[in-house]
Amino acid sequence: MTHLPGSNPRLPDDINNSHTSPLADFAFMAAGLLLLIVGLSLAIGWSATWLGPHIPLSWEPQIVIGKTEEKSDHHQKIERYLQNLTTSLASETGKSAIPVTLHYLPDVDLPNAFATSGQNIHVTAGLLNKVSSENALAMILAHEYAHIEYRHPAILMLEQLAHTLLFAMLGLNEDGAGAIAGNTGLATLMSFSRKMEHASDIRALELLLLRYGHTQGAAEFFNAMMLEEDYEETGGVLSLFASHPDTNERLQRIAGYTTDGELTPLPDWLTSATEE
Amino acid sequence: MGFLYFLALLIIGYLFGKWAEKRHYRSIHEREDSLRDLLVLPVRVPEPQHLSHDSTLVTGSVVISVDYFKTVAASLRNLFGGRVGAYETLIDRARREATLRMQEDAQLKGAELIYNVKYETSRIGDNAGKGLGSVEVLAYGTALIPTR
Repeated sequence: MTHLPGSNPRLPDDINNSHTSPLADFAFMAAGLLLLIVGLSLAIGWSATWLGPHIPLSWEPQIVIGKTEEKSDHHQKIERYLQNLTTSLASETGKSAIPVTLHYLPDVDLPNAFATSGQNIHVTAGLLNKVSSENALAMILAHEYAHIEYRHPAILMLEQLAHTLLFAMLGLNEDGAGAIAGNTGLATLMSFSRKMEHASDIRALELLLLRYGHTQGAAEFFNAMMLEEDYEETGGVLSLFASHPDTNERLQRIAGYTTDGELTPLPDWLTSATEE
Repeated sequence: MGFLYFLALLIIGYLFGKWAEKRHYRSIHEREDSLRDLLVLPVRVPEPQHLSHDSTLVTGSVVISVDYFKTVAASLRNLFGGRVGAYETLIDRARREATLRMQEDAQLKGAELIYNVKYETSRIGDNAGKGLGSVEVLAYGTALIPTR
């Protein structure tokens, strides 16, 4: 009398193997992950906007582009001029004017200006060639100053830091800690959001109005930009317009605020020297 | 660009993995049918009629690796938890393939049946960073060969 079976059993194919559609499963999880990241990103953006302005100015790391050891007299003169112009604009805000440092980039032909972390504003030679009145230049400087006044670099850094942390926590970024250190420093070179640009445009117009009593000339630079289309990203530094709302749209907004007045010319030495 | 590369790997992984799985299951079913009479038993103590048989160790081993699609699907599962369906089919196939290879080994040795069948598994290439690791499934047992 044997207790052995006659043959091996026919193995069931669907007990150890769920046979669920892997694609549907994958799509479901990927969508869930995406939703999670989008949700957390929004939460991060919101909290950074709230927290950013509360961070002491001195905590912002100094990020200066194109640092040069030796500056020519002309270079220094331009920087001084830009510095004075910006300071006079900023002083219109009264008590809470933030001290900013202006940097002139003599070797950059691309018309551009940008604010970086540590209350720094950079202006390229190309930009100075492009503007024809002090008012137009002041509009741009006031715009960059507004970014700093609204603490946009700090907000961007916070967002970047939180994102990197989030991705490291989710295990989506292999070198988590290193990436945090590396990326946050560059955060201010990243684009400001359209909302930030919008706010800065409005603030710049306000400053212009306070300083000159009118906003004539504010649209000039953007008018000039409309004629040229070569404002793409260059060398890792986003151009003034890459991250900005559609130039046309901004122009219309500025036009809506524009009041007539007399333009202040740029100093002679500046216009003659930059056109050499 | 990086995303396209990722997507391409994903699609290749999925299509190739699907095709390989289908083909493998077909082969498994055929071979299981042909070896149905070579008994595989977990029992440790032989039945009286087998007491005078010769005995020998038989083994069957499989090393499998996952495709890219399964790796990504499983890493998503790591976030959400739950049944890792993508790996289940793979491991199911590996176990059955290992059993079949053990049976084929036994058949070559002229065995009648295999007692005391056990399974073991180990991970290979675990330290290859985030690369695809492999898993070995080993089936072994005591094959009983009739004496003349």
